[in-house]
Amino acid sequence: MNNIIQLLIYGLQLGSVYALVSLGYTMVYGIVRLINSAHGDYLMLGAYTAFYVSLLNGNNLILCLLGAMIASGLIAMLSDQLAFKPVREQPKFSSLVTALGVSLFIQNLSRALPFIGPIPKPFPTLITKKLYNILDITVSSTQILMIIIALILLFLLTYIVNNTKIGRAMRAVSLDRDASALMGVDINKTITITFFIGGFLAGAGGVFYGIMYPTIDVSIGSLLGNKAFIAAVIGGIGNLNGAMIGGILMGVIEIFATSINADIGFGVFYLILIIILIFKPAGLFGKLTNEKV
Amino acid sequence: MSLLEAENISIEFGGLKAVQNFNLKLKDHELFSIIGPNGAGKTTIFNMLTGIYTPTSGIVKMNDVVMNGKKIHEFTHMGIARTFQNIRLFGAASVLENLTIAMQSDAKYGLFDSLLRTSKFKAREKEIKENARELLSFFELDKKESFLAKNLPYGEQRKLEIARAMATHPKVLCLDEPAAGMNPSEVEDLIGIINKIRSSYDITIILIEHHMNMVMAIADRIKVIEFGITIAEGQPDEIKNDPKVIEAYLGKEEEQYA
Amino acid sequence: MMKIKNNDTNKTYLSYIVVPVLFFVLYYLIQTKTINMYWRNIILICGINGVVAMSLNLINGITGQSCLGQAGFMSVGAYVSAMLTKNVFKPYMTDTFQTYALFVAALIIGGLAAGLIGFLIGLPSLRLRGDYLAIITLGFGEMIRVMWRVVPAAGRAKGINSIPKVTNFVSVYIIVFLVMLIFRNFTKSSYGRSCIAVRENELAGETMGINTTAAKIRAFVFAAIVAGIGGGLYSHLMTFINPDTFNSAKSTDYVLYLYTGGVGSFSSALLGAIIFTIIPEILRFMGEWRLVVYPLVLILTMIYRPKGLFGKHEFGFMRFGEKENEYEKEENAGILMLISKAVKSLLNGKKEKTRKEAQ
Repeated sequence: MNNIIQLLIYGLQLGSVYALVSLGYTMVYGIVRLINSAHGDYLMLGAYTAFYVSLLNGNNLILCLLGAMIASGLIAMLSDQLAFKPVREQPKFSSLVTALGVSLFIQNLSRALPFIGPIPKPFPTLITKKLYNILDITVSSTQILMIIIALILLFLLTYIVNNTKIGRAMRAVSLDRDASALMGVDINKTITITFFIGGFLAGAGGVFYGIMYPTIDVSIGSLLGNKAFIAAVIGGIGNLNGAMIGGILMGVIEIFATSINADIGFGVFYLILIIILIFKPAGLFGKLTNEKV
Repeated sequence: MSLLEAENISIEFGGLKAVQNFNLKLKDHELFSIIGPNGAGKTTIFNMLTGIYTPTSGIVKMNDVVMNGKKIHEFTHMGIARTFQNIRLFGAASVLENLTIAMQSDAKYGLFDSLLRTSKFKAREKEIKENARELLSFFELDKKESFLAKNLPYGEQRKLEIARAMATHPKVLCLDEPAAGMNPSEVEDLIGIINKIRSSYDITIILIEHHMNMVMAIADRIKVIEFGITIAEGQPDEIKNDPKVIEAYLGKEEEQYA
Repeated sequence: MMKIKNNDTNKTYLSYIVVPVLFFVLYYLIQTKTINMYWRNIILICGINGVVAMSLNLINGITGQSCLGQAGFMSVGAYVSAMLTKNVFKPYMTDTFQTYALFVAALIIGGLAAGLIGFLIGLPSLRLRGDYLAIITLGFGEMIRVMWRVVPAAGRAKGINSIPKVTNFVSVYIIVFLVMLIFRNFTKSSYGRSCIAVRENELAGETMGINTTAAKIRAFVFAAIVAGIGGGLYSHLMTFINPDTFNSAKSTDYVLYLYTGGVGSFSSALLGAIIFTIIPEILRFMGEWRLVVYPLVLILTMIYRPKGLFGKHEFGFMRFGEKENEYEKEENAGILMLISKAVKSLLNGKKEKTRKEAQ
């Protein structure tokens, strides 16, 4: 029983990271109907930014986190402006292909750049680890802090989307882009900000990845990004609550699955994805639109 | 025995009764028209008659075979063809290809015939192409056979849709607002084509239309639908003077003068 | 009014000469070691990638579905044929004839196994569209990879090694040619037309009497068989494979070959695969930077030339020698057309110059 609760806490920790990253996928999909496969790579660049910030300022969690989030946010915005905006009016699959290209580009460029390079880098210790024993269950300060920060970010995002002007604009654009343009919503600005917020959250995900696993390399983005993306689809892509729940759910499931057999850990992700898509094509909380004859 | 028959068909969408107790018994070679205000459920009826929707209750029969639950292409193989209110051509294919695609059932060769290009395959393909060209010249589109369908002017796209439906060798042709968006001279042209089809082919036509003049000019029988319910049925002259129909289209007289 | 050329005249037979000539030239150069082993392998990989990219074009380009799991099909063909030749056929592969007969048999069985998987992956295409279909095919591809990781007979994570090295230039060239021929004949038949109907307007296709369900499944199965044969060629060239050889990045590669080449055209898919297999090799002197060039080209292509570098044209014998009419030409325009236009205008300019000088 204790063992199960222990795994559950691990699962929540991992799940909160997935939730942060999958929110970015879902927001961007909701607003421009693009599966942005480069989203994971924003995360990777965020992790590297945190690495360099820590070299400059010592291992300050808040500074690293902020640096990573802003850097990822800016890169997300930039990639939208340079690559996705020009293909927005083209058939849907070509933006998906463009996103695949952007993802490859960011990864290969990072590998070629001297200050990132192909060799994994050790991630600094940003949180001094203390262990607490509550009723025979060990909880570390890292876990507590990560879950708290993730929760703060999730609440912040929910607040922005539900209670601010830009949040209203985002919801309007995701419902009907043309109609919101007619109502005076600045579409391009809204899309840009959505990309920024998505990247911002991914940056935090990158730092958390570094905290959880000691080394970072160029491919962590596609690894974590893929999982977070599946979490978003399972929750119902385009649906914010779905992404959060999907992320946490998949974190917990992954921890339990790998505790049974390490090899099938990742397979479980895809298995759940396939089952859900077959029986509930729009995910747990998504809605499918039907074509009118 | 009747060609196409609908017995008390009704359909609901999430509790909303879109069509209720619709009955139809087509006579051979007639032109039957369904009219009614916008949103009356005319296209929904077409969708049930052509297999796109399955009625919630009631049955659709073709040549006395119950069609409920059959696939759309099986409806087509039974001899029902249709056009769409919002044009649905194969846009990036050429005009000729639009017809050869529809002549699927004429291609009576197997996969290996086509991979090895046997003489049987070649003969069939030649025949299909010839038939398609013939049909194109019937619709006066032969000069445009290599145009891409999406590049045709609007009126010709409508014509091509009818030609494509004819390419499936239908016994019943369902035309869903073929004159929508046309100017008067194009409507004249369309009436000419429909008459030409009726005189050249062994065919029965069901027509949904808003252009009253056109319906009154060519329909043999008319059914009027409002809010999914049949309110009148009869010859054009009877329909013209039916008070219920006038009410549906123009509103109640008292209200107008009130 | 533009004059419409009659399709039945003006046939171009150039490629009927180019195909055999290219074969003999390359064969001669390889035999005389003018092309070294390294480049020979690259030429073979070009052909194999071309086969898989063309199979993807059948699903994405002709039938208009979105598949992101081509490496999954490929891996089934690669594993099944490799297990066959290594564990079953090897003792009988004594002389050249028997070796190649058994190799072909292994390729076909591998292809059929991949076709079975293609059928399974094609099933969701009946319910899902666009993005969702792309995701689920990606998921299936990864599931296949996980499957190879846990199946003991497939060597788990280590994979299979010392597979007989029987893939050679002749076999690859012939298979590329046959695949092109078969895809061409398929597309130009009523089977291909029903795929095009699915792509252009599924509902209209269905109301025109086309069984779109069958058309989609047929495309998936057919493409999977061909990709599986490509996989078989690959494993018998590399002599070792492991599950990670066929990860989602490999599937992505095929998508990139197809879309930079020109989706909708088999010849553009082949050319795309060839060019983007060779470019990273030519750019080896750039070190890690060479891998930056190729996604960059892809992004720029999608922005400035969404029909792909070579457009939607079919080249040479893929067109039955028929010339394209003006309208199709406009629609399919690729970079080659741009170049030919530029050259023409340049030549015309020169002509005018000389005419002026003559005056």
